[in-house]
Amino acid sequence: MQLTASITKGTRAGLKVLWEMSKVMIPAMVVVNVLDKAGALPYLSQALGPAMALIGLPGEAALVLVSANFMSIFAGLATMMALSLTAKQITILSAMMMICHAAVSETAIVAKAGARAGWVLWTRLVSMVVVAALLNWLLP
Amino acid sequence: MILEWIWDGFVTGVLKIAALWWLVPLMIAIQVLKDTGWLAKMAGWMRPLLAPLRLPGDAGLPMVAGMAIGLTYGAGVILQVGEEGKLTRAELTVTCVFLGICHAVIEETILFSAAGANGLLLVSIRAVTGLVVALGASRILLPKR
Repeated sequence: MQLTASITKGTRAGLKVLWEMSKVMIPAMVVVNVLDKAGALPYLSQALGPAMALIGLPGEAALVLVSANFMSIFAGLATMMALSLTAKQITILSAMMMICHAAVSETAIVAKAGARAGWVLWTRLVSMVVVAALLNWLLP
Repeated sequence: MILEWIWDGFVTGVLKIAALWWLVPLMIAIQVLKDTGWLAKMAGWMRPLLAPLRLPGDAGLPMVAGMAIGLTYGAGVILQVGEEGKLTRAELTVTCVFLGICHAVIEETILFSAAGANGLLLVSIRAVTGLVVALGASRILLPKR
């Protein structure tokens, strides 16, 4: 029956997302936990701090953007959940990730569909930074 | 000591994944929506959005598919429209500029709300940003309809 087929397909898609997430989430948690306990996170945030501070974020947040774009939005979310951030920082970082994530794979998809991929990628990158700066300025 | 740190991280990771179980029923609901043809029906509702972006009605289906199920899972629909040649390269570009910024709105908004962000605010930011940027792109790339 059609509905049964839909449920099977949906279940498979949902489990696949969970599986993909755990492949990133579990190693990310392990790495962040080890870095944290070993006291390495302050060094990382010191190095990237100045650039991220412009948009109200700590240096470690750069990790979130890197994993969201080179892996997936789930990887970025998993990394974000491993850091301790304020509500405002979570909102800014989430907005950035939602606007620009999986830049590698999604740009490849739109290029394959026949759109001008450069346009799609640049508009996303620029919007991400502009929105982050605006939110940092506007949010209490 | 380091083994203990690794184990702690592993356990936290597993617990966080388990807390996301609701992704499965969500994906089922989206699949049912897709298979029952509701997605295609919703494409018709996109017209008011398409006109200001100087896009033809054929852009409705990729818009709905992208917004409902995302670029990766909606890629099938977007690729199909591209292959059928119903949209020009410039029209596809404007569609994808919007979708690049604003897609998979149900799934990603719920996901981020669960992580503690303000979902309603986020989805509005995305929609507004997508519209503004796509509007700009359409003025550069597409002739007046």
